[in-house]
Amino acid sequence: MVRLVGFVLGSLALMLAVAIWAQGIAVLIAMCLLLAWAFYGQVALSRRGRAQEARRQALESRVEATLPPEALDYLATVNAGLELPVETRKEVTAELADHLSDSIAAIQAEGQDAGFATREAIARLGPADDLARELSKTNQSTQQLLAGAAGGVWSAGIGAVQGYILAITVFLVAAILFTIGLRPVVDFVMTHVVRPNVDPNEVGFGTALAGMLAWPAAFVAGRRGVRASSEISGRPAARLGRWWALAGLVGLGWLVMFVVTVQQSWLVVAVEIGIPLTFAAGALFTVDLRLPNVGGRWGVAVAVAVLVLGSLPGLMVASSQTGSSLDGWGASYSADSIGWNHVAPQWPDDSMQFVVTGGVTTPAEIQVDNASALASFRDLRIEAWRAKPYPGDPSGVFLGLLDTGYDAPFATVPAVVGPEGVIEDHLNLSHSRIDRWWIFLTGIAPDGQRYWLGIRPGFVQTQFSGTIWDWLTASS
Amino acid sequence: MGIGRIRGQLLKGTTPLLVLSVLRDGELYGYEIAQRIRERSGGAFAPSEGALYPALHALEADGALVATWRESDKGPRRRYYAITPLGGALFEEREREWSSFASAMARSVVARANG
Repeated sequence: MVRLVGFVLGSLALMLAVAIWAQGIAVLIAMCLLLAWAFYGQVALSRRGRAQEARRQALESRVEATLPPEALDYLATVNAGLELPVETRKEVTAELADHLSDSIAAIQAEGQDAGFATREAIARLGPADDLARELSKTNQSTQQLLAGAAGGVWSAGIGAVQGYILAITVFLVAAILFTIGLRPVVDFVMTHVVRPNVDPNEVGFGTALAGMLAWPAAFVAGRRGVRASSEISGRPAARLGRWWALAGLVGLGWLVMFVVTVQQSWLVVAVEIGIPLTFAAGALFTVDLRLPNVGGRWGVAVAVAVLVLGSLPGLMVASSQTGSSLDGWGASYSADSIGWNHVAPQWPDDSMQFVVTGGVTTPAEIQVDNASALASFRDLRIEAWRAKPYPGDPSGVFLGLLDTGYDAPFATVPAVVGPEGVIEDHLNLSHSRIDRWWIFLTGIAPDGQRYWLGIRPGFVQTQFSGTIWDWLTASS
Repeated sequence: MGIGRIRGQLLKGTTPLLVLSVLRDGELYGYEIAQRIRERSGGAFAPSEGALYPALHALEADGALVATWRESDKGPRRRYYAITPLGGALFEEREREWSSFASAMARSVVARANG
């Protein structure tokens, strides 16, 4: 009940944070609510952790304190043979230790020495392997296995939400820290020490960052799913973990590969593939061990590490944008400086006063007012040439230079002048990884030379959107 | 074939009934259950202690028993078993089956002896 209330409060705070995200100081209020919830959850978790730890220590210390070595060896053999969750194994072993302790005392009370009493008490329980096998069987059933699978899925879902909230919280804290104090430091380091050459638009940093927030969610989901299904089904977590990892790799792998449609880049692909991998890691590695106390040394160390590592991409992006400016762009560009004339010379006749527009989600259009002017040209073509970011604009949002590293367009179709002088390009570029290009209308003049026509070509800047499969199978 | 072996075979499958029987009088922990069975039978029934705990855990998994860790009268923490309403109903059902079985066995054995 306590955890449910905490979860509801946390969810409300999260929704509030999202709702008022764009309103400045209100974000800080939402952050306080989130942190209050996190503290509340931490108290509940640590309280439960302390109770479990006290119980574990009580069980173990009693066994070690009262039983002779021969009995402890017997219990260790039984424990090793139990194919049960760790906590259940401890509980069963503690119960048998109680029994042996009572049994040995009773036999000694009948006048036997300690050695005989120990051997007799052990003999009455029977061979350790047989006892372990029988106890394993009675704690496992198909019904429990099915219930464990269902409970595991439910718990994994809860774990995914918790992990995502954790990731967002860490991210928000990192963003606030960066905003209020670290920016000058990072700017100095990135300007004078590291000097990264990062183009956030080129590599899809925003999408990648969003995808990275799913890693903790996937990790916690995998871990909680295995542990819950282990506890409910009575199977060892290590054995179930392999199946959970496989299911996660197949299920989540299928989702990110064929279903999830986002803006893609190689970085984003790597981040997306990391989601099923982190799920598998959560299901496989040290799943038998309890998570460190949230308020303990390890919790703080992990939080700091996540904070630092999670902040780096955002910090690098912000730093790489430092000093970017479009000053001078409007005054200094020319057909030569942008590289248009690398395609062909511009047709000098000013009778063609048109520009190419559209081209991202709609076909590029060329409205030719004086269609008859094109009549003297043959082999009219729409040509798409690769572009690259303008140096003063690392974001690449506004305009780009023609990439003169290529001597041919990456796509071309014949241009057909339609009714009212409209030319639609009909270039099929939806399955291409190229994210910015110039669209030209070219034609061969009566002098036999090919020219590009109009005032200027059209610039198209977009981002590949699709699944990983789309990205891998797209042309580059 | 010794007496103990015969007892062991006869007792096979009856451990859950014996456990439910002694737990109807109140909650007990494992060793106490074994002792109580031995005492009630005047030492005639000595259930295999190795079979006792699988039986207890099976009954617990079926919902016939509920187990809790708490301090015992003698000091250390013990895992106490208590019978549930489902366990009570199960006991009555098993008791009827056993009574019918025992009566039929007695009639058969006595009839053969008299015949």
